[in-house]
Amino acid sequence: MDTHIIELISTATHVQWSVTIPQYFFFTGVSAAAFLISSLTYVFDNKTYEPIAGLSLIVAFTVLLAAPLNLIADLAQPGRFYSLFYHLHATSPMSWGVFLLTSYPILISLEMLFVFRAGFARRAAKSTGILRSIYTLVALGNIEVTPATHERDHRVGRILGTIGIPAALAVHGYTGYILGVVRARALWHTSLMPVIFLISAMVSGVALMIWLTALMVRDKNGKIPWNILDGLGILLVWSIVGDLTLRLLWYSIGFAYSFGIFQDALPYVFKTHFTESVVLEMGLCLSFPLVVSLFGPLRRIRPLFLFTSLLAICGVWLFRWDTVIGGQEFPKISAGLAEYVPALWGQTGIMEVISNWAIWIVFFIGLTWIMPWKSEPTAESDLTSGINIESAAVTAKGAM
Amino acid sequence: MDKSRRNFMKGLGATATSLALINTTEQALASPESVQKGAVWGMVIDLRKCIGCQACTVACSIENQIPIGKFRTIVSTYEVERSGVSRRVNLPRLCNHCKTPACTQVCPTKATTKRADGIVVIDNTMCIGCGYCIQACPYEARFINPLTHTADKCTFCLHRLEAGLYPACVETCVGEARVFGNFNDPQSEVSKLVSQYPVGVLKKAMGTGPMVYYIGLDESLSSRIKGKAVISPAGTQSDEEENS
Repeated sequence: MDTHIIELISTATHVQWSVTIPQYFFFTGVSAAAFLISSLTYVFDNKTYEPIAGLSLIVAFTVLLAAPLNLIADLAQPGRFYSLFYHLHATSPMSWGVFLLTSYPILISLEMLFVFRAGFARRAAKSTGILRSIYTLVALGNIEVTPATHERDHRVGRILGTIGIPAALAVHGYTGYILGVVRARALWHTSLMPVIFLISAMVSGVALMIWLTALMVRDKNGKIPWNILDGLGILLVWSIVGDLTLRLLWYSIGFAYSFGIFQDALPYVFKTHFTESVVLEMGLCLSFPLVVSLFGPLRRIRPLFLFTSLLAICGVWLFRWDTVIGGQEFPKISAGLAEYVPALWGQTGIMEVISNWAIWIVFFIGLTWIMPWKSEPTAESDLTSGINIESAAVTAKGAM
Repeated sequence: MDKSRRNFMKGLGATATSLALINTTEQALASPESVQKGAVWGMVIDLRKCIGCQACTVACSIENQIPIGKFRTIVSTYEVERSGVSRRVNLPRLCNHCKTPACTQVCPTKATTKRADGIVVIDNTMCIGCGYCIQACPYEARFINPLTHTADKCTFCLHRLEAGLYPACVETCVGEARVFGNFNDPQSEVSKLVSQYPVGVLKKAMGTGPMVYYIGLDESLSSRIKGKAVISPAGTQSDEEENS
């Protein structure tokens, strides 16, 4: 029996979480991915990515300093954010975030102290006055760089990096968990959400590292280290394949076998928002970079490779947007769809997101300036350092 | 003022309508002490009696000083056409004060909790306005109050209950469609109604166990409405049509 319903009066569906939340999820994802890239060297002793390991660690740290500002901006009572620290609730994933967002940056800070200690020690040795005192302090009071101290720094860095891997997975995985537990939202409630978030975070993190490597890292000839970028390109391929595979599982099981409300929601993704979700996000921003990064001849068209990496970054941001905002636009009880256009200004406007990027860039420039992420080529470092860019670039293996 | 009004109503007692109201009041809410004696509060809404007058919506908004555009309760109104026959259907909505609320589970500061008497409340001095409860509520019953900047929703007019009065929406309901009472008392009106009539709840599949029951609930309205939205008094919505 055909039923036609016209909704005359009802509560309206509002998009409660603004554009700042996709930005928060994006940044935590980049942090997790960048940390994992640094761990390839600091935990798994992979020499290919050694020249960018320190840079990755700085990225992981700085984006995580900027990311929580988005959360605070989205609160209706931003002045009360501190109460999250003493009103803990074990069943609320948002409450878990308090532990993760505080312990994880502390962990990265400690790891940075050890992996950069040799660099700080060298700077202390070359400095005088207050600078020497500061460098000595961050070199943990010891300005000696010997095989023994190198071994200790490496060992402690590895331990901290090993602890940091599950922490990094958790700090972004929990954001997927925040959405996944909301069974009232058809497009959020899937156990795959934390994993989808993590894998798509790898896409954005790797793509961002491709850009930062191209901008900031040079080999001994002063050239962009394309062998590292090729390696990252292959990582990008695997990440995109994982992302698309998980999407396929999510959508296919949901469409064919899930509850009616999810089946109702899918046309919203593939029909109403076809351009954003399919054409732009999955097509232009995921599949296109996948093809370019997968095939060597295409990847070696360097401007194209860099352009598609930028598209991949945009695609992951768009996925966060489509998931967070799109998920809220699909009503829980009402007919029709909610509409959301972010304001330009204000606490939860577009300018907040742009400002957040700017804050990160300031943090990033500041820390890359302060931190000895690329060690000076000295006799000592040749002997002891694990972060000597020259030796690493020579030993770096060309990627596929 | 409320008490004097109640006394006035008690004293009035001349018409059959007011007699019926006073009788139920005295059964369920004879004294504030009854609130503390193992009561589990809930509501039964007899949709056969709802005329969609929105008196409950207005009474709630006045009683609780709800800002314009926000509602703790509202009567959703639909035009439902089946086999060429069209009819108007009213569906009063409010917080369902669920047995296992999704909102309290996700609140990061425990600002929203379920009381022993079943009423889900929000401590607006603890709420940080994160909106997680709003996302988790399957019934769109919560909103951010633009005056307090915290989450807000129906409390079954807790302040009135504690004074021995019915919720404002119940007291004002013209057709006596809204019946409020103690589900722990088998002699209460609500207990009798759910045992005598087939009742339904909204979005049963969510498993939250709503404590607001409906008599005469149209199945096609119990979950997300598959239809066309025309008017939304509380905000902007597209009028995209969907196949039912």
